[in-house]
Amino acid sequence: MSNNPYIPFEAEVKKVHQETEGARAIKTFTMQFKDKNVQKEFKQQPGQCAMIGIPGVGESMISICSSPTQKGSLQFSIMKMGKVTSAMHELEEGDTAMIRGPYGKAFPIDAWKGKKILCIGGGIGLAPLRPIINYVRDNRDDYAGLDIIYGARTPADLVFVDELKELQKKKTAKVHLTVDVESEGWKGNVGFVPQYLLDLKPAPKDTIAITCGPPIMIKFVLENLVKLKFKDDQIFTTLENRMKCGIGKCGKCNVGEVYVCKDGPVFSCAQYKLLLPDM
Amino acid sequence: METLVLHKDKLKDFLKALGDVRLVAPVTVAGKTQFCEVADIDAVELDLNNYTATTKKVMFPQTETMFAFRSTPDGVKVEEGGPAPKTVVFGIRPCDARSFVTLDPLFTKDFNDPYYMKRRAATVLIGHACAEPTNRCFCPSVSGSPAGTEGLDVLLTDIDDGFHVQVVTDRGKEAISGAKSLLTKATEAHNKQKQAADKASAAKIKRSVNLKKMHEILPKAFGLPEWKETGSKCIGCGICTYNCPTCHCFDIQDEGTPYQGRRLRTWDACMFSEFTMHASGENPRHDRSERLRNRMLHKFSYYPRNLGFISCVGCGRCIELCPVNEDLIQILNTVREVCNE
Repeated sequence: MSNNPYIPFEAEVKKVHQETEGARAIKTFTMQFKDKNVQKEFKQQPGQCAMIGIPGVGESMISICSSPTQKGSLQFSIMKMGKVTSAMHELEEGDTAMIRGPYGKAFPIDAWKGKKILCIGGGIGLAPLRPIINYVRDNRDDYAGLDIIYGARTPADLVFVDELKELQKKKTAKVHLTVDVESEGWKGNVGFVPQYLLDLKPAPKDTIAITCGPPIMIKFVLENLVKLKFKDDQIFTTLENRMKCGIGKCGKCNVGEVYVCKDGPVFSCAQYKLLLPDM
Repeated sequence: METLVLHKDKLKDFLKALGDVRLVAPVTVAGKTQFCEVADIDAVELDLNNYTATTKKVMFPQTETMFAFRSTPDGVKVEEGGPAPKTVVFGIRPCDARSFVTLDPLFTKDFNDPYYMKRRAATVLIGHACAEPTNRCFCPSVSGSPAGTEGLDVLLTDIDDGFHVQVVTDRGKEAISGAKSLLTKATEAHNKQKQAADKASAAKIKRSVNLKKMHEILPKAFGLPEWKETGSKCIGCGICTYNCPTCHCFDIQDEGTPYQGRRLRTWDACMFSEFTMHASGENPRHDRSERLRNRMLHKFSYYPRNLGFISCVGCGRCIELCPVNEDLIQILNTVREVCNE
């Protein structure tokens, strides 16, 4: 393998799953490196990202949404947004894209053994939490509990719905869904994620809370977790910024002196509070 | 290391004796000094004239091909470029040479940047001490000096009959080994002339800035309203970054089609709003004053905290070239004043 960290490797699209429809549609891609050795050596941890690119178009940093317990492939949930993600959305099974990584700090998931895990997500922000959910699912005896609070604007904007239903059905996790606005046929909770969190009042004892979503949601979820008496070392989040190199050199993704690509994207609340308000 | 003397009549022979290398040296283009690859040694002009471009591009070109790609029946083939040519940069100023010392940790920490590193390893720097620092220079404030050797392999200093030649590294010794017959050992008198020249040039530096604890003061100054005032006159042209020997931010872009093309790296500038803009339109540094603040904090706080060097060599190009007279020294002085430090 090349020791040039900028060189990507070709990966085949094995499956495309349409999560949501519309102008900002979300698709989940299951990708497999064409070179078996590359696939074997690509050892990501929950929370890490990869640069996924299409030659001639460019690259985007995307969080890997599959758990390392899923061997032999990687998954990425991608919202159609800019140049690269739009090109990704054109891909079909059998097409290829280029991937390099994995990058960034992971969630300290092994240090959380014995704890209850509480994932709080909004919109596409559930994607970086999905490797945690699936890792805990596959090592369920190691963790005391799994709760998922997840919301999106409307029921049609929720991602991984079938998987969440399956987790609920098998009693692997308690899943609490909410949508921002009243919607036809929706019988679940209506309201924003931070408020729903307060309503559900999860107990902080022996619990780790991880949140990801729009910046404004993260802000209020963190505030509300503090109201619920969660301590800073019990709370984690994951951030994003524009990135080009992915390895701390191009200068784009800094928040103060911290580079999201290599010092993040995962931050404990204690680390998050030390960041300059450069967001 | 040894100190030698080169007579001024022998300069061209000295350049020829560097052998079969790519020679990058100062030449005058349209009335301005530029460091270019020179084929004709007669064109080399050691006295700099309206010199504002930097030598950064020798290691980190404005645009470079990272790799070429093409689609084949067996999949996408990625082709990297070859090795860097053996290069000598002749006449580089001590501040510009020192800029590479500050850039090295960035390009080597955690991940080696193969493009910068291959050129760095293939390049010898033969410097020319500043006899006439400009009115924009403030290198002593950032631990530099007009006759500093940090980053250099050989340093030439003007003395009465020609050049005092200080060999700084083994690489430098080897690079000039072909010129042995042109060099004589420096005498005590030559060394004294060199000392006098250094002293005279240091005395010509007029500007200075107090950087004591600046890396700690700046984060405390993050929320000051003065940034808004300072930043409001900035027009976001980015000239401060493009002419800065230590600015390293870059963009990566693809050229071509999915079937054939190349991935490029180009200089980018933190003064542009697109630099940080997300695909969604969200921008963490939406305002020009936020971007100017980031540049100051990056150079004088984040970079030294993360990589151990102030990301500034005191060349003052940003001060001279700014179309609206933003002055880095004034900005830092204001920060210190307002913070009462």
